[in-house]
Amino acid sequence: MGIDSVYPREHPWEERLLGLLEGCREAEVLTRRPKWGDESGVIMRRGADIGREFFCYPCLDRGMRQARELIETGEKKGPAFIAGGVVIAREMEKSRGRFDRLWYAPSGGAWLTLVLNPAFLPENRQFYSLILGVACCETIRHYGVEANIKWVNDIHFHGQKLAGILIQGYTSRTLGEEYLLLGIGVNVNNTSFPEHLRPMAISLQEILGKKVPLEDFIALLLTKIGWHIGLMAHFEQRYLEAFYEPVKPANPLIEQWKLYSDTPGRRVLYGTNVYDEPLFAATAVDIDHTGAIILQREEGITVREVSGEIIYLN
Amino acid sequence: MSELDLDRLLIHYREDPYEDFVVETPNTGWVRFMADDGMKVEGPKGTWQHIPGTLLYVLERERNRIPVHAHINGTISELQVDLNGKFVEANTYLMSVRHPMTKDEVIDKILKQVLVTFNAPERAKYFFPPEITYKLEKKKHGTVLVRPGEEIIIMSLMKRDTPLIYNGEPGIIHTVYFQPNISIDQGEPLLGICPPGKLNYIRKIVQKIQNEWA
Repeated sequence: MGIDSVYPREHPWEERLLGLLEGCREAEVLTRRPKWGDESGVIMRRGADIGREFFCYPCLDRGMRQARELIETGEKKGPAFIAGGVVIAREMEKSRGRFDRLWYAPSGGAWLTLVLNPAFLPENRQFYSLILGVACCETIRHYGVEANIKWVNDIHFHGQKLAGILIQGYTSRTLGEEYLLLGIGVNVNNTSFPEHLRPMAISLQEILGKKVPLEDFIALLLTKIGWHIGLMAHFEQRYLEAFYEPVKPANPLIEQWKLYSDTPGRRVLYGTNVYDEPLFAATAVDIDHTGAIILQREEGITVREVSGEIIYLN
Repeated sequence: MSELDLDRLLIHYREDPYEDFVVETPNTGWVRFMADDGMKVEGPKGTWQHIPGTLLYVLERERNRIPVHAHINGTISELQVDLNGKFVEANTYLMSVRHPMTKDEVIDKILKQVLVTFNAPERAKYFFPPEITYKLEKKKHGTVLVRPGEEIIIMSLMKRDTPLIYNGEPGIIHTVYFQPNISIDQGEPLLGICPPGKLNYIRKIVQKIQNEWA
């Protein structure tokens, strides 16, 4: 039984999204022009792989699983799965976050899985996490909602979660190609949550008091992701060009992340899996040029963490 | 995997039970030593190795001051005193930390010559996937078999989780070198894998060192 017969795809939605994405990109270039000038078009084109192809389904069990299946099926047919492909489900039944945590994904939300070939230098691959956080936050703020980023990339509105991000590396079984699967879930128009999630989760519709056109939201989100991926590639090139110069260009992503984040200055609980095994309480001082969080512990010791997660204590 | 001349190795480690850790500059800058030749230094401490070791030197470049601490306990040797206050290139040798090895470290060092090590591809945190954790908890130590193509460890860096695929010969997870909550440097060993037929040989090595190392 083929994939399409198990999970029928929605071709009209896919075509609409391709059209919307084109318009969003043109608008994004115009918006960025005052700061980036003629480079804005170049930057946008560098991230134009995002949304090259859409795979839309009325219902999936898990987007990540479907993306893996598409990669393997695609590779068996011949050429490798096209980087920039996006799997979208109207709803998902068995969605999971990190450490197998349940992610509730009913109809009305934006549930996406992006498939990418990791194109950045190995030392810059951690920036995909920050890129998704910044792009998600910017998209939500476009609708007038003052969302914030909690390190690394949780998007919340006054402490209630609006969006969650899951990134997994994947090496294909067929050709041994390396992929990144970027899972993004945004509570857009879904308004009902299970009782235990109710105090922690909120949707855009609940904040705004009206529905947000879902296709428009997804197209804008993918445009922002494409922009920031392009910007990172642009920064990488400028950084390499200035490799022997005494002063290196600053990473614009870090600056943007700090603009949207409310983490610096907060009392936090830190852990690799903080909900099940919190390790220590600390004050989040800042993030460094690599995106790592700087934590000031009670003993007066400053630590730098490249991985893990935090819960706000104040 | 060739068999070791264990007696010769043990004599060598008894005669010189130290390991020298070379300290070099990570980048160019002005060096100011904070330690003296012959001084005893401590490595990082605390549950998560969060308390830095003894301050060895400060490297300053473009008003960016980098304090460099000892990564291991031992005694400072070969301190390049003439470099104090000088501007140096990256990878300049500054000193060594002469570390006295414990019995467990001698066992580890010898085992690394016979086990196939699976190393960390990036500085990150590592943890086992649930299936491997389950097997390690349920089965006896030294009986969890891994085969090529299996996902054996998850590398977690900035919430990007990448399953690492084992591509070596089939073998048994003999030694786990990492702790899930501590960042591991690139290139550090994560696992020591032993071909199933060599397990008894490796157990004999451990036993012999346990018995003969004072």
